[in-house]
Amino acid sequence: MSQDATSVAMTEQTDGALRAHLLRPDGQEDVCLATYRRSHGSRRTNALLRDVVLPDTGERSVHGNASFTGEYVMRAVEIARSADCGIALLHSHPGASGWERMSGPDADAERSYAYLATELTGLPLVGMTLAGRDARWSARRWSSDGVAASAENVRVVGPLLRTSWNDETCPAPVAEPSQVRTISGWGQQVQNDLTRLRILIVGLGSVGLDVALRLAATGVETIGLMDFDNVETKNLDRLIGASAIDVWLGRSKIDVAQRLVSEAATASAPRIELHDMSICEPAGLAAALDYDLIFSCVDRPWPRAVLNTVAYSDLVPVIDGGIHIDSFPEGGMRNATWRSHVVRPGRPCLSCNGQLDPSSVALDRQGLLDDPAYIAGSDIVGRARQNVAALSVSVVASLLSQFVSFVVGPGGEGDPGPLQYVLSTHSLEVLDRRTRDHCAFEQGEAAGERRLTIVGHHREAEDARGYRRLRRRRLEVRVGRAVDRGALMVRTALARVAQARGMKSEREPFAPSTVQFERVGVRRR
Amino acid sequence: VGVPTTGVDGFISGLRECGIETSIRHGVVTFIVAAVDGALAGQAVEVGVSVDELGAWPAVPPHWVHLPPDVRFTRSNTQASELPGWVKHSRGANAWGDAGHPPQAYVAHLRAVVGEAA
Repeated sequence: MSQDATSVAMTEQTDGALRAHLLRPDGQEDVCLATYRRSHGSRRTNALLRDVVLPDTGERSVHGNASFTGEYVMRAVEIARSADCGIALLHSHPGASGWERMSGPDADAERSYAYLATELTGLPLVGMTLAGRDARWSARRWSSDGVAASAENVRVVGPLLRTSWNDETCPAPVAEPSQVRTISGWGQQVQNDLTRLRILIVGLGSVGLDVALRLAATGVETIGLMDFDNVETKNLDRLIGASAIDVWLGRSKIDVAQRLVSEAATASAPRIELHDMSICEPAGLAAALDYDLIFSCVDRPWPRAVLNTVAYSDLVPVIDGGIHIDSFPEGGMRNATWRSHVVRPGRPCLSCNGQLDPSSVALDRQGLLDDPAYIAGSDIVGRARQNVAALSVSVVASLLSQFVSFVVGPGGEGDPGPLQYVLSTHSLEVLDRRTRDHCAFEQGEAAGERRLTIVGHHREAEDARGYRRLRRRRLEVRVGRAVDRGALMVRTALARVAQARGMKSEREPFAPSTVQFERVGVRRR
Repeated sequence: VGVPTTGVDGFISGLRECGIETSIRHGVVTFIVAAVDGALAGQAVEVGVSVDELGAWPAVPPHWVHLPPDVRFTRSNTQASELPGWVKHSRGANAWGDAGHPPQAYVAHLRAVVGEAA
């Protein structure tokens, strides 16, 4: 992965408009322009396509391939400038499939507008090619002096997350023998696409940790873990795999998650990226923009508002959910419900879906939702704290089902919309939630850097990091951590030996027509 | 890019569309609303909203309503305002997100707030 990577994203509507123009019934190539807004992550820049600018009469001609006039480019530049956008130049290769390399004439055509586009819009030209046979995109970003940097992927966000991959910068992971059962479930191509997704889990509590473990076991190569919180004794009934040792040694939730996720990972070269921060901090937001998909495993209004913004403004889909346990005051349980939903353009946002109260965001931001003095003087009730490990796994299952529908699309169906499971009656409901007419979150679609300003200083995150720093200075904790680190190293070495022995003696037979490890190359150790 | 609709600039331009002029003092956007109910009915009341709370406007409404010290309530959760001598009152705009014109909806919320004054 490069340090200055590029990714392009668009909605299904934009993709549809582009395909309708670029894939001609007569099989000839075509060309058009679009505007894009930039969105900066900490390691990659995203180009978010916004408006398709189709050619007017006389602005382009089709003659097997396609050419266009300078006037057409200038018209698109003016539209882009007025909206604080850059421009993308797109063309089709009807007979091609997969990620396209640039031909000499194509590169020359794009290069000739690279300087002009950058000078007039302040943003680099983005070039894109649509392969007609499988509707896969390829993309590159041009510097003003005419040098192209290939993007790592192009994402189309709709009922399905369709991602076109650049195999040179993001090669398909090597299939591992430990993934045989997984790959036989959906095939090598799906595995190649799914495991290359950069997936972030925000909140490493009972739900987030379990989601991370299962993604790692599935073979996802790059998993981001974001949480600022520390492991406390009260978490141990739900953080499966965390122990009293972690509490004593002042471990953060992401430290524990890293240990467990590393052990569960089946990818040949898993990358576990740790983000000891809140999504509400500017650094947390920047980190989140480096990912293709986010799991929201947080229950506070402020981080949920940030995630709700990013899902639309930056076209990073968010899979969200949660549980509500309804207890009797005198003890006993009336009911429990858990929900899951994919938050993305085309689906209602968390506010429209009734899962985020915008009026509580300001209070959460000031830490007042946990302030007993404030709560005592207000009409609000304190946060519901009930949680049960035996049920949180149901939330995990619901989130991961949404994930598989969204990324794999069983039967060609994408994400099902908001779902709610009612425990008392054991019924699954498809919730009829619609976008409100004037939703400000959803109106910010592909806004990129002009998104709502919702991040800021996060006192609780700073306090948690400060607590850990202090705790780690204590001699007993330092000694304990050194001993624990040694034990982990021994365990890691044992795992390597076990893996090597296992590969020698226990090759599981599988149907070669479904999974062909020899062809894609089994890593031999 | 046109008239801003988001953030503090969007809030101010939205109020202007409602015929309300604003000023910013000590990081607080202040303006006049007419009380239509309660003890202050018929009076023009100066109110304020912190600039810090307007970053995500109109998706996220400001929570605290800044008021001069002579506007009092029988019960209120308060903090000191950034405006010297003023008090900010905890008043959430519930059921937020339905309004076609958020500034108008927020002004209606503020009128309801000052309508509760003792």
